[in-house]
Amino acid sequence: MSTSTKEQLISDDPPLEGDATRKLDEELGSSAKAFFVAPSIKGIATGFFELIPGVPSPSLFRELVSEFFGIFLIVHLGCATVCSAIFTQDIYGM
Amino acid sequence: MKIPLSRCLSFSVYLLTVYNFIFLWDIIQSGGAQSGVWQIAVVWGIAVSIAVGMAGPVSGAHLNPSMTIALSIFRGFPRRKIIWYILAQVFGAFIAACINLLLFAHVIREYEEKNKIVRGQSNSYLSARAFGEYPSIDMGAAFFAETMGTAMLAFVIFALTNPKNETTKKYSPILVPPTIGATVAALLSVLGPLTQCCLNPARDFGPRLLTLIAGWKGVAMQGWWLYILAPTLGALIGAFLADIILYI
Repeated sequence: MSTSTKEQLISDDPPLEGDATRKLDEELGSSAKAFFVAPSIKGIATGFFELIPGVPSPSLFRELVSEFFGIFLIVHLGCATVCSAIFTQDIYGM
Repeated sequence: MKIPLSRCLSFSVYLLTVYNFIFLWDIIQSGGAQSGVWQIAVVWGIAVSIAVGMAGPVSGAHLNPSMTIALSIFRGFPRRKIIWYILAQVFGAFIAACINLLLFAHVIREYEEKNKIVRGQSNSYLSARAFGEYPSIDMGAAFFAETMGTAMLAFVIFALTNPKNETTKKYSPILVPPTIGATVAALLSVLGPLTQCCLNPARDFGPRLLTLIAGWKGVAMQGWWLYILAPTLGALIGAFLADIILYI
């Protein structure tokens, strides 16, 4: 496979069609194609978020995911321990 | 200067660790290590420490709408991001509450049957309090307690993360997440029996939305405004004291 074809597939540009895809099939087979095409799916997702007005940019999206998981962890563990304390009747003081 | 300071800090941590072990041993001996307010406080503290350490490098680990607002006012956090951060925080809390409701569904049902609780009736706050927060003191005192608690938490956070704080900046940045977690645990031990110690509007409002949907109806939203206004006011006071008074 030529380096240019591989680079195009790994990049965030829209996925290749027609000749390039056929060429990749011939040279590497379907499993290798999946390996190289997967990163381009990330590119599609990134482009998708950029296209919709009002939707956070990819860097902000990453920050929001971080906030989501952070508070998820706090509330999941914190409220679960409150649930254990209240509903298993081993609490005193609350 | 650096060597005496680092030695002093190391010795303080050493002493703290020793005293903590003695304290823990006493609790374990008395059989109260895994029950009561302290159990809840310790788990919250650990959870906050982990979350701050995990989210800090990516988003700054606000994890709290009142801190996001305070950071916007005192540290120049972009205002266009505020609404997105708050939505992510409330959504995260909501999903976590959903999972907890699924995990504890059977136990909650048993508790409600045993105590003759019908969801939506006035006494159903007894089971809803595992998700939202309900004060056991009057609203004025609860507002004061929540404001004071969040002010203390914000003061610690803003003081620890202030660029002029040489201790955390140069010598021990790794201490920031556990110190914030320990502050939450200490505050929860004090305020838990009074207001359930919210300190975080997303932590209260996300699970409240779930209880509203899951059958607790009007009871779910009792006093919801207190846990939004008081922490927001408290965070502004704490941030002001740390950034404008302490580290001017």
